[in-house]
Amino acid sequence: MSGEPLLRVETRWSCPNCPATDVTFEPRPHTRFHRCAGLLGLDVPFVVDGTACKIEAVERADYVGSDIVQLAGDGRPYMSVITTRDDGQDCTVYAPCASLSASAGRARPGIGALADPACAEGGA
Amino acid sequence: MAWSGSAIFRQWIADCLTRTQTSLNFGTDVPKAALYNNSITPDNNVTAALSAYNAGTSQWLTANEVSQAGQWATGGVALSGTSGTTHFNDTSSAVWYTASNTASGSAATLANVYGTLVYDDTLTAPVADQGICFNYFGGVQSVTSGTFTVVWHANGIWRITDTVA
Repeated sequence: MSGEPLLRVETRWSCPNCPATDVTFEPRPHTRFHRCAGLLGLDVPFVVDGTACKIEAVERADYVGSDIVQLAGDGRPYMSVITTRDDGQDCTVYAPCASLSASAGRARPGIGALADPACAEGGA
Repeated sequence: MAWSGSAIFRQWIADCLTRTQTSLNFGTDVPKAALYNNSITPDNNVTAALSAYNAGTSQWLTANEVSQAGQWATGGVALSGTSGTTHFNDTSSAVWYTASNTASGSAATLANVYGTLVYDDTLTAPVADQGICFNYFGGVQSVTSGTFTVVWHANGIWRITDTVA
């Protein structure tokens, strides 16, 4: 007798915005993602096939500033994708990257951030 | 004031460079992501103690946290490494820290979520649960009887870019 389970959970996934589909056999709760051609190329969660829903991308509400944000195919920053079902709503958030830049740049006159002599060319 | 951007805690970098957190292990420590409302103004220049999760007078108190038992628990959700427990990466011109998508249970109801604190839940000294960075979601987020998922940026949760200009 093999070690194969007698029953295995098959989940079929689809997307209301594009023709992509997927099948998984994971028994634990999970969500599959795909690069959605129908939603600006964003990484969007599939829904269980047959689920009545709509999936919409939400543009970033605040200014971008120096955050490294998720840009969609239209070049605009998106902060989340909302999946609205009859019985609830899922939210997928695109978290920006917290970044720090360390470069051996030349000191430029008039740039306050580089006014420290230690930061000038040849400095420590 | 309120959330306005994402940043790495300066003291986290300083403590790493000076080996202040003698027990720090990027390979095995478990980081967590806790969610917060807009009642705080995250500051990347605070002391290690004030960057820590639920530390005395920090902003990262449970009073400002958004959570739900069994869904996105108080204290946050543990981050899964993209390769085993490894979160730290070292590639050309950059060192970065990342994780797989982080998700709640499938029946979460959370409102007024603006951002997340990523902290080291394993670290106990010199400061327990020291903050690593905070990531601003760019606006208010919510979920109703569903799944709340954080998709980390392709550049990572945090990234230090090292280039010759």
